[in-house]
Amino acid sequence: MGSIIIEVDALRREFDETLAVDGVSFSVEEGAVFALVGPNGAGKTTLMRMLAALLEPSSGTARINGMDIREQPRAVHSLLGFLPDFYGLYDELAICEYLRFFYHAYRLPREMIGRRIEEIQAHVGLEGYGDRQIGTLSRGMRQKLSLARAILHDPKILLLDEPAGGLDLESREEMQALLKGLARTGKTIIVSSHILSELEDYCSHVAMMDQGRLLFAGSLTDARRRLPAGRRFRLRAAAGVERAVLQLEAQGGVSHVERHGSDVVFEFDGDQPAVAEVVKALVGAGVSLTHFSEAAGTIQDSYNALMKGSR
Amino acid sequence: MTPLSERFPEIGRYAASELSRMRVIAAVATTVLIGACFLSMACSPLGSKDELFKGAILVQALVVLVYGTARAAGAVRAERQEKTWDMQRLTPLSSFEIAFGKCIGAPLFSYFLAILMLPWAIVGVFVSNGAVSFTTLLGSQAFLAALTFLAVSSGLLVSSHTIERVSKPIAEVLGLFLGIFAITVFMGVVTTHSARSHVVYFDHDWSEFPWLTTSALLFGLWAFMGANWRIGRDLLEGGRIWRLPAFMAFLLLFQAGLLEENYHAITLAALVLVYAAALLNPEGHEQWRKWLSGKRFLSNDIPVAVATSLSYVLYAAFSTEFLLLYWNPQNNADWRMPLLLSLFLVRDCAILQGFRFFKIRYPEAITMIFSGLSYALPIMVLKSLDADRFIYIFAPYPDDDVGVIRNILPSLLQALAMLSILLLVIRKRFWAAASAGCKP
Repeated sequence: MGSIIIEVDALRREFDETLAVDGVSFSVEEGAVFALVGPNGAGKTTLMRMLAALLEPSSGTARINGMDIREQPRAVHSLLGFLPDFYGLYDELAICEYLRFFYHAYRLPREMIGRRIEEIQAHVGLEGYGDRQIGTLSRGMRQKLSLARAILHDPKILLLDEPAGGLDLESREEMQALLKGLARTGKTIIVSSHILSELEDYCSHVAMMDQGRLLFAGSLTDARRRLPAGRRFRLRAAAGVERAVLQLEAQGGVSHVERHGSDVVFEFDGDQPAVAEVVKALVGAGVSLTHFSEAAGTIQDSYNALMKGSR
Repeated sequence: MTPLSERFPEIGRYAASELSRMRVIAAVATTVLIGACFLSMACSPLGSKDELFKGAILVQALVVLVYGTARAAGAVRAERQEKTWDMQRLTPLSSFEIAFGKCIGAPLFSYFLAILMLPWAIVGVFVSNGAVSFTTLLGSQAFLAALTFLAVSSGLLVSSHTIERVSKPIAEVLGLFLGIFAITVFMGVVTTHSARSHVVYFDHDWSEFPWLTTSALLFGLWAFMGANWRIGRDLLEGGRIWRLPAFMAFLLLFQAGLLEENYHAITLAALVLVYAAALLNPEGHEQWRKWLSGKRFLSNDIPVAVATSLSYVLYAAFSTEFLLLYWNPQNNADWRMPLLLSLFLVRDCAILQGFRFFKIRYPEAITMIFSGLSYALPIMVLKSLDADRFIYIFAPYPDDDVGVIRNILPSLLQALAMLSILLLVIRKRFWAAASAGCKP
C-alpha cells in the first residue's frame, strides 16, 4: 500500500428533503481494493457518484489524487474509470464502434487505437465479438463492455458500482475473475456490492454504510476485530451430533448454537481452559469429535454485527 | 474516422448509427425517385417551369428543418434517459465539443438527404427557363443553411434544458414546433422572393436573403451558445450565465432596427423562450440551496427560472424605454406591453417554483394549467358579463382607456404577492434548515 489517494471529508448529499449521504469521512490508500458495502438505500451509489465528480455534494468534499471534486471535477474525471450500476451503452452501435467512440472521446493517441481496442476486448473476454451490435448482447457481455469502457484509458482509480448486479452465476464468476485481475494490476479500486463473500477474496479494505452513515471503514483485519465479544467455534462429529447440540445448549457461556448437517457452530465467551472444558464435556457426553476449531470471522459476520448495532 | 469525427467523436458515433449501408442506399433511391417525379411535373405541358426547383428545396427544407430539428431536440434528452450521458460527462470532451458534435451528428441523416436533393435543385434552375436564377439558388441554400443552424441549435437548446423528469413530449413537441415554424418562414421567404425583395432595417434597404441569412446565423449562434452553457453546467464546467442577458440586449438592438409593427412579435417570441426555459428546468430544493448558500448572486448555480425572468424584466424595462422614445408614433398604450408581460411572467415563475417546492406531482404541467386558467377564465367571465374594461386586471393587456398606474398596478400586485409567498417558503425551507445545521 502507498500514500493516500482518496480522501473523503464530511461528504454529505441531500436530495430535497432526503438525506442520502450523511457526513461520510474516510481515506483510501493507493493500490487498495476498497469494498463499499451496505443495504439498498445505504447511500453507496450516491457516494460513488460524488467521488466520480458526477454529482455535487451538498457539503463536505473529497480529494482524488489531491484534486478537489468540487473545484476540479473535470480533472478528477480524467483520473478515474467509473462503472455505474446501469449499463449506459449505445444499443445501436457495434462493440468496436462503441469502444472507438470512447477512445477518441478520451483523447487517446490515434496511432494506438486498433491495438488498444483489440487488447481491451481480449482483456474483458469480448475478443471476436467486435462487430456484434450492443443491443443484441447478453447482460454479462454488456457488463463486460461497460467495464472495458471504464478501463479503456487505463485510469489509476476505478469506481465500480455493483459490478456483479443482475448477473447470473457464470457471468458473476467471470466478472469476479476480471476484478481480481484488475486488483492485481495495482489500481486503486472502490467496489460496491451486496455479495460480501465475493469481495472478501480480493478486497484489502472495507467500508460499511447504512442509511447514509458510515458505520466502519478500515482494513479487513480491523473489520474482523469488530466481531462481537463471543468467539465462534465449529465442530464436526462422526456420531452424536444431537447430543453435542444438547450438551452445548446446557453449557454455561455458550450461545447461538446452530447445526449444519454434521457440523455445529456456536459462540462461546470463555478463555482457553474453559474451551478445553467444553471439549472434555462433549467427549464425555459420547460425541465422536472429528474436528474442533475456532471459526474466523468473515466480512459478512462483521457486517451483520455492525448492522445489528446500528439499528 | 475522419479528422472531423476524431475532433468531435459525437459525429463519428452518429455516423456509425445513422448512416448504415442500407439507409444510404434507401436514401439515394428515394431522392432519385422524388427528383424524377418533380422533373416530370416540370417538363409536362401543364406544369410550372420552376416546379422541380421548388419541389427540391421543399424536400430539403422538410428533412433538415422538421426531421433534423426533431432529432436535435431529442439528442441530450435521450442520452439522459438512456443513462449514457454520465459516460460522456466522464470523458475530457468539452461542452463545445459535445454541443457541436450533436448539432452536426444528431441530424446527420437529414443533412445527407438534403445534400442528395441539391443536384435536383440545380437541375431545377436549368429547366426553369429563367424563372429561377442561380442567385436565388445560392441565396436559398445559404438561407436554408443558416435557418437549419438556427432550428437545430434551438432544438439542441430545448433538449439540453430538458431533464428526464420533465415529460419527454414537451421537448419533442417543442422540437417539432420549431421545425414547422422554421419551414413556414423558409418557404414563405423563398416562394415570395424576387430580385427586388428587400428588408428595411435601421432605415436602410437590405437585400432579403443576406439580411435573413445573417439574422438566422446570429440567432442560431445564440441558441447554440445557450445549449453549450447548459451542457457545460452538466459537465460542472462553471461557465457564467451571461448569455441570456446578452441575448436580450442583442434582441433589443435587433428589434430597434425593425419597423415598429414587428416589435410585439419579437417581444412575444422572447417570452415563449423564457417560459420554455423555466418550465424545462425542474430545479428543486437542492439547486436553490446551492445558489442561496453560494457567494455570488449571478453564479452558475442560479436557477434558470430566476435567470430567465430577471433577463426578461431587464429586457422589458429597456424595451419600454425604446418604445416610449422611438417606436410609438401612434402614441397609444402599446408601450406598456413588455412591462405587463414581464410582471405576469414573474408571477407565473413564482407559482411554478412554489409548486416545485410544495412537491406537487408534475409541477410544470400544473403550472401550465393553472396559469392558462388564470388568464382564460376571468377573460371568459368578463366577456360574458360584457365587462371587457376589466380585462387588464387579469391579463397582459395595454388598455388605452385607463391610466398607466391603473393598468400596471394589478399585475404588479399579483407578481409581488406571489413573490412574497415564494420568499416566505424560501425563508421557512432554507433559512430555517440552515440554522438547524443543514446549510453547507
